[in-house]
Amino acid sequence: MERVIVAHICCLRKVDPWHHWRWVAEKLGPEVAGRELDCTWRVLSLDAKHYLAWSHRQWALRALGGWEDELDYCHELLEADVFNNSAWNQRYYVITQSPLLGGLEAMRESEVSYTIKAILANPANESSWRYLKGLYKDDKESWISDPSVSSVCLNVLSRTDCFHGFALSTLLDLLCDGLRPTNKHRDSVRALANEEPYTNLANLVCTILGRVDPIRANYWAWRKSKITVAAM
Amino acid sequence: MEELPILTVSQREQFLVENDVFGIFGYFEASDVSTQRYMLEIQRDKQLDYLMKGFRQLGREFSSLDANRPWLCYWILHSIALLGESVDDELENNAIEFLGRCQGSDGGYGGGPGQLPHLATTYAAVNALVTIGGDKALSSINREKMSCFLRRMKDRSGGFRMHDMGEMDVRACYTAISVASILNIMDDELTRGLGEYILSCQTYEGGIGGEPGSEAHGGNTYCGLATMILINEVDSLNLDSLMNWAVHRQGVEMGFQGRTNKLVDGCYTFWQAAPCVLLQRFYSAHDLVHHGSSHISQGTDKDHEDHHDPEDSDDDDDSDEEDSDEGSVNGHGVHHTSTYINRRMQPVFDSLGLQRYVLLCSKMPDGGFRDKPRKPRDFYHTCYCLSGLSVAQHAWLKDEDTPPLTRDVLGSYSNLLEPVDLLHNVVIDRYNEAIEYFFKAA
Repeated sequence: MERVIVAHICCLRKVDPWHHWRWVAEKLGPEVAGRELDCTWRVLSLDAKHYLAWSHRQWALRALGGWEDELDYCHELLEADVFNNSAWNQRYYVITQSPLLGGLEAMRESEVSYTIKAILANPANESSWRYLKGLYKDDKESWISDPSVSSVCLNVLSRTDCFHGFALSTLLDLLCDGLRPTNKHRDSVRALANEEPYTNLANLVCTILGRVDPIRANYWAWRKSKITVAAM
Repeated sequence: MEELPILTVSQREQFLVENDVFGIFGYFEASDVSTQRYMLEIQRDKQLDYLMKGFRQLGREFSSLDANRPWLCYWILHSIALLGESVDDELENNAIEFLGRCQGSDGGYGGGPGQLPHLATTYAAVNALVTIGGDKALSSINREKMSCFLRRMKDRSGGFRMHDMGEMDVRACYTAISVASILNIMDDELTRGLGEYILSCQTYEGGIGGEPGSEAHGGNTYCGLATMILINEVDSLNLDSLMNWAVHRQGVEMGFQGRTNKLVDGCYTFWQAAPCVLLQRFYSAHDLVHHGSSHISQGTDKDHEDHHDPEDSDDDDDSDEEDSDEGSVNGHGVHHTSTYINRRMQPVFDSLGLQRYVLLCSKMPDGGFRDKPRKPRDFYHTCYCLSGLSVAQHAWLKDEDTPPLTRDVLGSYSNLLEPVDLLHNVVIDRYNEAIEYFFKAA
């Protein structure tokens, strides 16, 4: 009943109803946590990427609690649609913000394993690659030294049946962040080169990216121009 | 029997859009040259027709409870200005008078006379008045009251609320700062803690969300980046990842999507292309400072204006990096001076591809622009498709004083739109006039 009244007031006052509901729910306290999560669940079941529903849900978790099932909920959504970037974003929110979990570093290993599975199943899914990188936010050392990151790139690059763009750009980022390439890296990349001259590995990766991801040809050329000595 | 692959919702929706878009592209490719030329024409007459009719209608609906009228004023007037035109004096005066009645007695503008002042409608009203230009429009804005209104919207955490007890998000921050900047009422109180708030909205993907934790999103990315540039704190953002995220929002349709794995939409032509250009110009200006790369120093004797225009400082041409792609003569066979060449860059996104999406898929045959095929036209999309088109046409330029080359503009050169100030999205001429007016008013 409160919802109907609030919606009506918001309509008359020309204000955003989602926000106004936060104000009301806050006054009602943690007992309504379940209801808020339920309400957003319903909206998201119709549109799993509804922007305001997601911010309302994040607010509800933060202000009223109910974190217990959230990671499972993200998993459910990703099972249904692994390309749902909002679900990946929510997953990130849970692993970094939930008081029940240990935080990003503690969750990293299991999340990396989860993400790599998703990448290998759909190497053209940008969401999973960005999530993988996000797991190492503010920790360059771990990012370049974790063998699973490097190996998922090599794995994808060795396949002939899929898009190589994200594997190559991830490798490029690793190189620019200080990864020392091995012969495996060099051979893997050279195998994709079409008689392109080898100056340094990062440079070659940019060249190949210009061909493999032509929409961003100018961006890869711009990246090439920015390669510093560290990436050689 | 062959098993069909099970597509997810994202894949299915994407497939349907690609079908529509490639259908149009295919038809275009198969057409003769004169049909192609016609399809790429911006159709100025039809656009103006749609816009003028819309504007006149707006003036007639006095009793409407619609909260959108300042927005409609801005969307329509800005679109007309982009086409290099303006409305007649009577309509202009009506608009000035109407917006005046939306102005709250305690500052700011509401959605209509007597409505609660709101940052979004304030932004729209100010931009509309700046676009109209002239003393009458500009003097109608009560700067002192506006200062009070902006201060009231400021939150202790550093962000801004859209209205009293309203939602706080990156859009609210942008609308407040954009207005403060144009009206020359920016101060430390307004900017305190703001940079930190926006930084907290940059996500692991690189783009910026509406609130801390929210998904990276085109509209919010534009708002966040523009705000940071206006308050001079842009280097606290992770610019590499922001640039990377933004350029990846251009899809196979060549238009931009708002979020990863979502659908193309004409309005993101502006929301995503503007950050790309802003970032590229910023990098271009900062290369000299950080890497001290050896370059040919080409002073361009650019007039330094009295006001501090954040965008101008990015484009300090005294020592530009030479554009490595412009070693050769341009498409006309005209030799430009090396000074001109130094004022150009290769846009990081595919500008001609973007223009093609807008002109072939968003543009409607009888005027107006839309999100994507099968969607109806509206003034919001018309405004942002045209704004984005202007950004795309000017994307090769390091500053607004340099005119685009013929080959920068898809279709005939008559498709060229007026350049916009990227941080406020009003046409440059009107922006400059307003800045001068409000600088003097201080």
